[in-house]
Amino acid sequence: MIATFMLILAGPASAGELREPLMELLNAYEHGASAEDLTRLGDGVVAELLEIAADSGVPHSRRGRAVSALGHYPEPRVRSFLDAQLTGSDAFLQRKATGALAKAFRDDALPSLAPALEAEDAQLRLATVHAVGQLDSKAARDLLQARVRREKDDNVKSVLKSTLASMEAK
Amino acid sequence: MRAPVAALAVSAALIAIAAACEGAPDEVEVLDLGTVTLSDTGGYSGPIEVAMPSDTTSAVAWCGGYGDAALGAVWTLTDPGGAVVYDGDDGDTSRFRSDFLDDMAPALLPVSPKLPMADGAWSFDWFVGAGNGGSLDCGAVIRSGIGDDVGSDATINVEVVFVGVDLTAATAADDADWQSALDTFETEWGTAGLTVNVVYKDFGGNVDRFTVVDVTDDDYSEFNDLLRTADPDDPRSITFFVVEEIANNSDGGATILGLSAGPPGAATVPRTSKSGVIVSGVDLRDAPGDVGRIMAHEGGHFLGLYHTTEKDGSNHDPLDDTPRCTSDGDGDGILLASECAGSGSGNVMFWTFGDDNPSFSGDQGWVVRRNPVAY
Repeated sequence: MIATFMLILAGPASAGELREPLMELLNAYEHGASAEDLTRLGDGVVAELLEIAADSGVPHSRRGRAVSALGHYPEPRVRSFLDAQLTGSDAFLQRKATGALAKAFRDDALPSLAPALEAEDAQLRLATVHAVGQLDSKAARDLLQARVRREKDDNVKSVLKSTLASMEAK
Repeated sequence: MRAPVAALAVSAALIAIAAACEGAPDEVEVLDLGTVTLSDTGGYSGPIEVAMPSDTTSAVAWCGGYGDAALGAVWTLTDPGGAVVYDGDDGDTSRFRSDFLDDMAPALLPVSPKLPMADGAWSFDWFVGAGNGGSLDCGAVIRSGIGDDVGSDATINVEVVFVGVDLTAATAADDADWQSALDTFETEWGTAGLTVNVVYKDFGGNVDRFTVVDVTDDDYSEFNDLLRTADPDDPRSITFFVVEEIANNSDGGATILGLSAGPPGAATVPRTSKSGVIVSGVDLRDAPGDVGRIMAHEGGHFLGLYHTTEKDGSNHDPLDDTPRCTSDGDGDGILLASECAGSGSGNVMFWTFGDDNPSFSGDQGWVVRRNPVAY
């Protein structure tokens, strides 16, 4: 069964009761919201994170942090949302979606992440390399190895090589 | 067990930097305190003496060059009278504090009115952990000339460097969003008696590499490398890098809103891993005031301030007049701003965005106006 989750981006969304405490966590200057922090807030966190991530009235960095925080929740509705962000038009949220997909879905995210390695946007390719690099699997290494041969951007190529070296050292 | 190391004599290479204000004797002098050897598996520098003249306002002392993978901190601080005023073994941070830092560990005096500057030889002893490369380069910067006659106002030069964001040195002054960020920054710093003198510089390094500064929980080398490019035209300045974002790849790429070197930063010392502040500019177009708040908060860390209360309440700063929040009303182990109303949520240095229009306390202003970079 394919679960679907549709969001209508019509502007600022209405906030649930978890909005305020979640925003306080997402507003931290130097740290994102940890899995432990989110668990302490109780039920309903995922739904509120999805709302925050889609809410154009929330500052961009906090929306990005909400996307990143979704990486703690390997659920079908989260997968649908993150895939939509990755293929969307917001470059910053695309980058955040790569890390969240890898964190939540591990190797199962590779089919979504592989096209991002071919994106025109070098920063998106970089973010995807970092995301795939967090996975400790042959499939992840093979994906990056295939890309390094074709990568033309010096920065991305350098990060590809160092990431592969780190993965091989593990 | 500590290996005994003889105290080092202060050696040559004095570089005087006079303040720009006409008639002001307020000067900054950088001292080379030499190189010490220690065990690469971890050890102590031994007593490093820094002689403070009678008109000293403040000083930042450091040992560094031990690499991004090793951590070091001041373990013992002894005042000119021979009293141990800070001992890492007992963990009392009520008057002085030195957290473990990678590559270089600056230490600021004074960091609290409870431990004011005194003339004479202060002795610092650093502990640096494994992987330190076997040697430390030590130095100090001393601000002197006016003693404690700092007053209630001070000026700080800020050199802003844009990296990969849609601003340049030429366009910043006329950019409404950037000016809004700057207004917020200047207003918050104004509550500490600070006036900001801003100049801009275009980044001459690898923009593609640093547009997004990538870190992990264990590797801040890219962050440090950007700070190592800080070389303000006036050394008595703080460099603020505005990048697209700082991303933590140990946390799925989550954005870090801003990070300062230290605390404290290596005031007036360029081209080190502790030579500035990096701020994520991703909110510049939809929440510019928030960018200003981030600058004010991270700049506070550079100047030697700590969080008034940490998220889990585990630590507080060494200042008596900053509110301490201890009321975890819902018992979830997180001290939210909403739970800390009246006990820190209105302070610039709370761990998260709190009340609108936050301010510094009197003691925080006392500390930052004395920093060597201020005049």
